[in-house]
Amino acid sequence: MLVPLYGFVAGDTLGILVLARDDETIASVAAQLQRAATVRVRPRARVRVLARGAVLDPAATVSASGLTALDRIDVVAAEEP
Amino acid sequence: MKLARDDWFDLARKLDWTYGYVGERDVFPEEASGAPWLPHDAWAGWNEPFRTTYAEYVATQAQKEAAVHAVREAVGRPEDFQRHDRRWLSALKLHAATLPLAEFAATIGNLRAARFARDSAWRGTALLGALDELRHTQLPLVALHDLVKWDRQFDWTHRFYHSNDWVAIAARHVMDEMLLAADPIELAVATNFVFETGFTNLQFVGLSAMAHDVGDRMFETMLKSIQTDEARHAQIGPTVVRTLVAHDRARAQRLVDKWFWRHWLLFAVVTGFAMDYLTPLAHRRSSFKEFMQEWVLDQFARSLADVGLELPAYWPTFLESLDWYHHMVYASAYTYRATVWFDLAVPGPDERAWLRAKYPASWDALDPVWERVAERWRESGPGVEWYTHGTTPVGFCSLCQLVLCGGTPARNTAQVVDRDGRRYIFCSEPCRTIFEAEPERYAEHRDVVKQILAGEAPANLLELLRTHFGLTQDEWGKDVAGGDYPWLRR
Amino acid sequence: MTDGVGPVLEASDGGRAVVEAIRADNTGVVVLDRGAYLRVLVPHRCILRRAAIERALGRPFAFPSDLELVMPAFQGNVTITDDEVVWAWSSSG
Repeated sequence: MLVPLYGFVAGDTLGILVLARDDETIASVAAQLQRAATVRVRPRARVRVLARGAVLDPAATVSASGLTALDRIDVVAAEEP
Repeated sequence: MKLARDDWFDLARKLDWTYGYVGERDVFPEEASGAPWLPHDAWAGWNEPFRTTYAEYVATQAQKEAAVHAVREAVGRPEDFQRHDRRWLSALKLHAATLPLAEFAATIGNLRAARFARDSAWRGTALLGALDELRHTQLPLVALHDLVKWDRQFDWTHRFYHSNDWVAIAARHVMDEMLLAADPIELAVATNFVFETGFTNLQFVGLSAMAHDVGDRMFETMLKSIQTDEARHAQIGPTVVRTLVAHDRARAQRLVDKWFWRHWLLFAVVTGFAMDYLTPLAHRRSSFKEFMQEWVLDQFARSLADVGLELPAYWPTFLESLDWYHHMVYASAYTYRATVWFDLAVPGPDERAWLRAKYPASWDALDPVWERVAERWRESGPGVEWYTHGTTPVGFCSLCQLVLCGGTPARNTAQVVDRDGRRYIFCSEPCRTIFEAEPERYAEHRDVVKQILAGEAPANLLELLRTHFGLTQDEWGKDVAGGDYPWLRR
Repeated sequence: MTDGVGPVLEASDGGRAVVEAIRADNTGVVVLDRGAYLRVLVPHRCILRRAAIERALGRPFAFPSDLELVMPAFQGNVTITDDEVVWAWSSSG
């Protein structure tokens, strides 16, 4: 099942729509989002993914992370708070 | 003995009589005339200080038309436009698409006021205002029609409002509400008071200074001539607002707050792009922010105080956005340029130095995006448009319908909100506030994302812009230089 | 100038005559030349007399029509009669 998400990469200028699968890992969604933003922001090797104020486990799936359609997720550099 | 104008014109303006055989509410139903519905006496003091008789109007407008068409004869031919920088032509195409047909919607809004406004002088002024807006529709349509044969992107002067391009959706969202669905009171606040005494001056007079410096006499003349009409009919605004403040200050404040923000976003895109990115660097007299300071900030706060209103609660957010918003949208639009009808340019080292000097608070966070775009062009070489172009759909604000560019690159202010079983996203807090104040007005609208998710629009970007936005390959936006900039070559 | 009022004029003979007339009848006048337009600002109140324009221009000048032709915008509340135009804020800054 597809879960559309609003994705924001730190350093980017707009929010992008990413179509994730509910059984896809957060790490995979983050990679998808970084690829989508690559024309404006160079992909980072190490990132954290945030949603609803919490850091998501990169190995967890989209559904296990509690994400639902049109949630916002943020991909930020691993070093930043 | 000839009467001086001052001796007779007041009588000719104030023509209402007390109705004996029908009720006032029959002639002016609240639904058509607007809220709050006040007794006629409350509007009797309505006074437009900048007045014109019909005879003067006809004579003066004829002179204005003759002057503009004379300039068009001299310097408004296709060959005159062809010598301009391609970036400047993009600024013209952006203006041409977004403004002329909106003027026709303003004609309709003014005709409603000409029938349903509560004072005869107001109705008379609105009638002439409707004629002004008809002029503002036809003049650019005529002036730019000649260019279509030479450059198909100019066809969007007419086509834009009939299309489902994402910018057209955003433009219709604000123009339909402000001009077509608004009663005369809201029209006076939204259009005459907020739009016409601040923002249109920015685009029509501020931008005319750039046109002058670029050497585009046709556009310069046309813009200023149009705005001389506006200076007159905008005076409907303050007098309506004063009466409204006296009877329902809260409503007056809410209307001003809503419309100032909505206009800000629209003009940040249209004028911000033109002044800071599409006017060739050598001809930029001032930055967009400096023009905003001159045309909007300096006088808006003062005129609000003058009618007894306060600055909107979001004012600090607005002030901060002067350093960010149009830059965020431009960088986004550049990397999605095929979704619009005009070409965009990459700011080179000189442009970026100018932008850094004009926007010291924000440019550090924005420059890396252009560094990345330049890097991508170097990797691909010129001519490879797709390598610096986004391929995925993007989000749009549930209120303003624009891309989600609020805040800064480090902290985007987009927020997801659930209400009544539906999920919305807003680019900023003011957009959210406006939506939640009148959800019944906005809740049903299905934006591009919702259409894609419902299978009504393609998710593939190329298909989206061909079939849904209505752009053909020779019309959709490209890099002005095809990525072949002197400063990119090593 | 936070309290400034006055017209924005095109840089034509008519526009420049209006600027001269304002300079003649007001103090503290600031004129910003933007190439395509001239912005005139006077603290709090600006008076423009038709007779002064005609003197500067050397030909008849009607209010409001001839002023409207050269004035794409203005700042402050305006009052117009056959012979005078006044821009002012109704409240004090």
